[in-house]
Amino acid sequence: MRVWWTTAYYELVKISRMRSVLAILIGMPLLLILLLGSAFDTEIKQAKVVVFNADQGDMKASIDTFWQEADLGLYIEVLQAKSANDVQDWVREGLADYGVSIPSAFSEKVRSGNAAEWLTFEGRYAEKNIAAEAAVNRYMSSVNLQLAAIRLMGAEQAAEAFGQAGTSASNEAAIAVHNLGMGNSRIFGETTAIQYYSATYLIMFLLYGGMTAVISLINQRESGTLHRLYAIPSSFRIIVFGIVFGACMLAALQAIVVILFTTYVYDVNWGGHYGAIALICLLATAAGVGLAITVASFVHNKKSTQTMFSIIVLSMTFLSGGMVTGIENMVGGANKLTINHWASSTLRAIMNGSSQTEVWQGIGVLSLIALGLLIVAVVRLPKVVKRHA
Amino acid sequence: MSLVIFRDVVKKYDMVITVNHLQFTIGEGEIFGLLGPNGAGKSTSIQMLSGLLSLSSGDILVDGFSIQKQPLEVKRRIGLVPQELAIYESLTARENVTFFGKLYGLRGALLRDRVDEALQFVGLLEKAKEKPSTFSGGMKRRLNIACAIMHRPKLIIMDEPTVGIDPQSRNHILESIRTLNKLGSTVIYTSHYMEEVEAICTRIGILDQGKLIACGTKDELKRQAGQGEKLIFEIDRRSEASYKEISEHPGVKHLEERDQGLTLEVAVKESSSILQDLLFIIQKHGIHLRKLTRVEPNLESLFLQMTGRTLRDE
Repeated sequence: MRVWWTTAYYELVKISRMRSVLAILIGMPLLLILLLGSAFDTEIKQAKVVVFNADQGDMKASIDTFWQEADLGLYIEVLQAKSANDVQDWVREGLADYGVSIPSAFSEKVRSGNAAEWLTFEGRYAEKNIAAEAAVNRYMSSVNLQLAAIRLMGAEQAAEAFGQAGTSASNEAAIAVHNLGMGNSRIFGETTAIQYYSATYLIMFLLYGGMTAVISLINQRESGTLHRLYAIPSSFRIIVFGIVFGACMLAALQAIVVILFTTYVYDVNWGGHYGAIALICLLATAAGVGLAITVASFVHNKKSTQTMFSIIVLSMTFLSGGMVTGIENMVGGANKLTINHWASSTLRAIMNGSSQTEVWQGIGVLSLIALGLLIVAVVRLPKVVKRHA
Repeated sequence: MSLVIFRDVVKKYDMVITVNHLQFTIGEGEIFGLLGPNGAGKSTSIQMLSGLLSLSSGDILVDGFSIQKQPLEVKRRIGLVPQELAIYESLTARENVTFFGKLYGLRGALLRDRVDEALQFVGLLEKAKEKPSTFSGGMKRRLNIACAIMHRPKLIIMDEPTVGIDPQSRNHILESIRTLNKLGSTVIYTSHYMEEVEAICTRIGILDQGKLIACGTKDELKRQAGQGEKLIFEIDRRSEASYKEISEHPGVKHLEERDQGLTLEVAVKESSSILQDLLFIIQKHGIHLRKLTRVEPNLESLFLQMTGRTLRDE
């Protein structure tokens, strides 16, 4: 225990002093998550629209109902102002993203077949202006249709034709949100782009954490320090386990930093269940260590191990959809043979609140993969850590 | 009393025997030099003694404990200074020594005292907070030693500890070894530098092709090899008569001419008893002596005679 803890602790100290390694293991996933998450995140944030409805005619109620529609509420938060001046002021001061002022004679003008319009005030954010204008245009299209009918058929017939004129514009959603380049399909499943890439790159870099442990072993073997450690009164497996555990502590630190940073800075919702998330990270790291030891036992030197391991991890990330989303549907189930698939999809299942059964099934498969790789690693370990094995 | 006993030790890699029925003892308090050309089996022997390699057969006892049956007890009594610089560049000198101290079970004030003592011993206490990456080769070698001695082992194994360092650091290391020995540690020392082995070792074992071909003090080895001294006469002219008379002298083992007969190399059993006779012969023939040199046998020549190779032969 003493030897194990001492080697683990000093391993963590040694790795933590290598700034380039820390930058890669912690900085890179955060950067990739930010870049890819932002690039593909098409979610429109709710726009605050301040409305003053001065209309006193028969369309007043239907206008108020329109602004309270549930599907509009997904994208627009309606604020009520007490005057047209308030609307203008709120937008100018940034208290609202967009302003709408409905004149008092609006219903009357519509009913008499005259041109009728709302006064709108744009705010500073283009995407929020677009969302609010989409809502206004939707209502105004319906009104224009009524005006055309009145001019053609007369007010009474038109009113009959439309039933209660000016009610809810239609049952279609006011604003449709689709993902870039993929039409109506939801390429990130039930998660947002940033959630998707947070899960993907956390797992990919945890696998690299496993490689860090093995590279440290190879470095120490080549410098002779590992050989010297075998001369101390302890078993070589305890020493090696200590070194690997030290690197795994760094992986744990890496996971904590990535999860906390993405939660508080990128606003990523990890879905709670932090025990299950920790377990998934642990299993991914263990699988990474197992895989790296297995690879190193066949290729013998540091550079080849790094190259081979990187190829395998990047391939697994690609096959599991970590680089090109939706690729998993085109690879004929090959994605299910990767560590990344089971780890990332289980993390995403936690994020989108899937059933416990689904989460634990994913963890179960991941456990089996990690166990299998660790068994192979234990058998092959002497090839990696001993010079004459 | 013997601290180390090699008992018919054999090491085979596949079918190749690298250590062949090795059998010798090292007494407590000795500085034992292990010599041999590359591939002689000395590194393999040291690795088996340190518990880094398993034995194919035989046994090694250290302080009465068997490396086969009680490896941890043996390891507790050993401090290994490997040939490589087995230190961590990202840790400071103090952290390096502390790390190894903790692995040997030292804690608290005792650990701090021993770390200071070891760093002081190798002359690095003032550099304790610096990382080895800023050290010279000699300083790194000294830190390599500090890591091995801080738990005060009974047996210190030094595998080529002076490779590639400046003369000042070499002298410091050799002096340190003598001091460690005086403080009670037994030392096993391997080196390619014969003069170092001659200077500090109380006994020497010569390994060749996995076998111990000679073992003893320097004088005992010379006697075993039957090697004597050499007298070199540089004279002003060659004389056939004097050559014949010298070569027939009963104290002369071998005579060789060089420089067209102007240099005579005379191998003798013991120079002091026949030097006067030889000088008389030279004078008798009217030859003027320009220079006389007396050469004592050294380990290099002894090694060459015993193995047919120099120590640095590949």
